[in-house]
Amino acid sequence: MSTCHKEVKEEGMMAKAIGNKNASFLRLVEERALSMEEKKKQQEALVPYLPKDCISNILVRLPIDSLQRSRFVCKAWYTIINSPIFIHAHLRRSESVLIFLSSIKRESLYSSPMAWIPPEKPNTISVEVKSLQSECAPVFGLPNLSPTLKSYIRCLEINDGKSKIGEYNISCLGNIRATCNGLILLDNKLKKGGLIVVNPVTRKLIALPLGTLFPAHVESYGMALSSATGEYKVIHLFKDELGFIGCETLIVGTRLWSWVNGPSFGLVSWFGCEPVSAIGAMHWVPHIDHSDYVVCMDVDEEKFHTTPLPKSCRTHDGIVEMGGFLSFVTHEEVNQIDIWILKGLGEAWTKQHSITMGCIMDMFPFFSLKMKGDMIFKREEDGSFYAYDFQLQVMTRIEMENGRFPLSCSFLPHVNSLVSWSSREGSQDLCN
Amino acid sequence: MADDGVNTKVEAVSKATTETIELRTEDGGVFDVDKPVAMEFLILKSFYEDEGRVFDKTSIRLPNVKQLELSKVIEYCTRALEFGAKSAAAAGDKDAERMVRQEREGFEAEFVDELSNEMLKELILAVNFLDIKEMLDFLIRSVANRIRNRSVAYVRQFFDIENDFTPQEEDQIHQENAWAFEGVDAD
Repeated sequence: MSTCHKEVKEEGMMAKAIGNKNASFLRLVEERALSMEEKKKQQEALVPYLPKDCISNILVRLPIDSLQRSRFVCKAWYTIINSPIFIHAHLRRSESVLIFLSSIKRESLYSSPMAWIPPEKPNTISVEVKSLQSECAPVFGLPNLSPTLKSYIRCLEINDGKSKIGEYNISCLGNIRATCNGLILLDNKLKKGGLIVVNPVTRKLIALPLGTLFPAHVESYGMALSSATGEYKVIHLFKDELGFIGCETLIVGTRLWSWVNGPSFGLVSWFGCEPVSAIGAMHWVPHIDHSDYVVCMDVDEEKFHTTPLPKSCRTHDGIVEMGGFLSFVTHEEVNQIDIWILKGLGEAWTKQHSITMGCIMDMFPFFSLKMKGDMIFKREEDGSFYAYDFQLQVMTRIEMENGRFPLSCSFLPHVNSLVSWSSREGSQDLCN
Repeated sequence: MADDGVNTKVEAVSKATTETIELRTEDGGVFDVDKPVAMEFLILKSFYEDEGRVFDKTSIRLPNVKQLELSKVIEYCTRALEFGAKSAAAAGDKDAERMVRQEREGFEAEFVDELSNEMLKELILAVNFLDIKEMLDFLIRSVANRIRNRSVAYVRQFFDIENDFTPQEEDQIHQENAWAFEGVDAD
């Protein structure tokens, strides 16, 4: 049974046995016993059972409600889920949704009971109350505002021709002004002109210091991530009484707004279009009709440029962020919608795609699904949504839950994430 | 060997024309694996290619892999290569592409259905060691599907994890905001 064989040489994780196939039985048994012991030690040392990066890869694929529970499994998992790297990886894999407000007052006008909107929901967190709590102010200072001014924050998921409404169980009194990576910028109705940044999933919020106050129809807000610093920046564009366009920015978490040289006089006449964040800049369509250029502000440099459009942007055309790039979606003919792409500031527009099926004249581009790639359009006439699948080249009308569209004037593209404006872990919203 | 993807015979275990590598598992299993399948194991691929070794048919011992796992790995990788070849052949024909995709999804669903939770974890360890990216991704997706919407207790039991939170610590986390979208536990 004994054999003559050369010594086994370990090379990294693998041993290459040179010799004849009948290795000594004893040796085999010894080796097996050793490796089993090693494995047992390894198993005991491995908490959790699988290597950490496998665990991270599993967790990153879980939906947010599962992640919420997974934090409680053990400390190692809690740490993984709260780490900025994980949060960012999870964000990158999450699909875009629409966030909107459902006003309680408006819905109570309907005689038919809305089964999916009970009049006053339990477990609802009020953004205003929470923000007062976070400032360590006594809550009995809360003004007695009429409850009919309240709105619930909700989201609309679009998938496979169908839509689903998700509830955050959060109420607020003001409007959603801007969104970025899962954070939303909300009016703080307790302070005139006040703003709050909140993540509706984690409920972490921060009240922003007051900036320049302006009437809503001559101002616009945007929020973007600065790639240089990893911080979130709120950008406030406004027109003063003399018609000059001013701009101020604030890094979320800091206390001072900075003044930025706005675009030249007359460059922007209309603030009705929410700015689009793409290719490191914030982009505004400046006029309500016939815009031949887009006004952009480089987020890091805080400088304004104008980018000429390949053709005039009319009422039902628009700009949308698509795959990280800026896209210009325009009605070319009655039955054709062209999609142009700009890959970087200062580069040239290239025509990416022509949609020739299912075009309707009053459909304007709304946002694009980050993961699936579909372009979502909205019709002015009835507020219905359509999805264009680039692969199958098919335009589909989105079915709405309960057969009706949520009555809301303002939808914004959003993504449900665990992102926080601060990279510091732990509860930012309790008094430190 | 001609690298003509469509014609690569990956079903046969030992044909005279296909090179094989002998792999031995830690529990005494011996497998003759077709070279294209074995080269999907990056740990083997880099052993041969990166270090410029001549392929000389000696036997390789895999100390962290058992027979049952290796046979499953070989099964999956063999079929994955077949599907890859079919996909390439169907390129451009949307219907054919869809059929290949559905066939693959059917195979993967059946493959994973037969695996116990324990086996799934063992396979992940083996595939992680052998460094087979596509299969690891598939296994990880399968685990994620198995634990989503499950209770904390179920997940701990699945991974053999002990709760190392003190009751006070657990309370503290509960005091932090409950997130939106709390799903219903199903066991």
